[in-house]
Amino acid sequence: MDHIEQGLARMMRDSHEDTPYEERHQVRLRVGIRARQRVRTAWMTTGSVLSIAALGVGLTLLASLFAQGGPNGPQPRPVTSAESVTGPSTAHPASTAKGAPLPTRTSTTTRVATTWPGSRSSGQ
Amino acid sequence: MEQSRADEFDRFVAARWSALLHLARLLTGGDRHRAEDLLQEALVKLWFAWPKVAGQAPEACVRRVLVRAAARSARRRWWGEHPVDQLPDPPRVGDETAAVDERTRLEAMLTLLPARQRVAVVLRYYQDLPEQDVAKVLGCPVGTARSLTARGVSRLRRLLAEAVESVE
Repeated sequence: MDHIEQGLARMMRDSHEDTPYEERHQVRLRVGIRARQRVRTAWMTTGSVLSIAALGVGLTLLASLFAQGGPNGPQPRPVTSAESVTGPSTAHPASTAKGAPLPTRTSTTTRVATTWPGSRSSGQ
Repeated sequence: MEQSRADEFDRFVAARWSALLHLARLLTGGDRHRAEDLLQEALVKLWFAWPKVAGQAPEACVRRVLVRAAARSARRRWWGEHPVDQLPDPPRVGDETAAVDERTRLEAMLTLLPARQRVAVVLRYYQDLPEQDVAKVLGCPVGTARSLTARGVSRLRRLLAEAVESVE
């Protein structure tokens, strides 16, 4: 720090004049704090009201979407039920409703199921 | 609980009012009314942060708020503050007491600095803060804070030399 910088620091410190904290300062500060408190409360209240409103709108929309989605669910069924009608097996309507290859699978599983007891019986 | 918080806050403000007002005055280049407004704004913000900062460093907090408020208010156009090449009213010898004369000269010179340079110089030479802390308060890299301080001091050096020449 050279002498100019030292002089600058000294000038800044020496120019300090003692200013007491007066009643008017205190009153002004209290008023400022109360005003800011009111603004903060208003902001928080507005924010809460807006959040609740947004949540309500969101839930209502969601509920209406679900309500619309309910009757749409079984609409593909007539297509599959038509296949099940054309299918040869009447014993498994539920499994045929899922698709065409299923009856073949069920028949193979049935065959396997029948071979196991057969093999057991052959062992016996 | 609320009463003890208010008492503690009041004690802090009463104890530090004078020093903080002087800092605000230096930051605003000697504008007493603007300094009071800035300090008021900073102390209102401090009140709401008081539960968090009371046990740590309330003065550092209020200084940071004060510096940012000073920089912000300097950006507002209606203050009409702009750097000029020459001091507006160079003080004449013997027309005021030495202390007032020196303060007036200092404030006039500080007014001529751009706001961020003034803040950097005041924090560095009045508050004695290290460069890292100046940078932290200003919210800029250390190199920028160093550069702002150096340019501010260089400008003040020129202004001081001019003032001395005009007195001679």
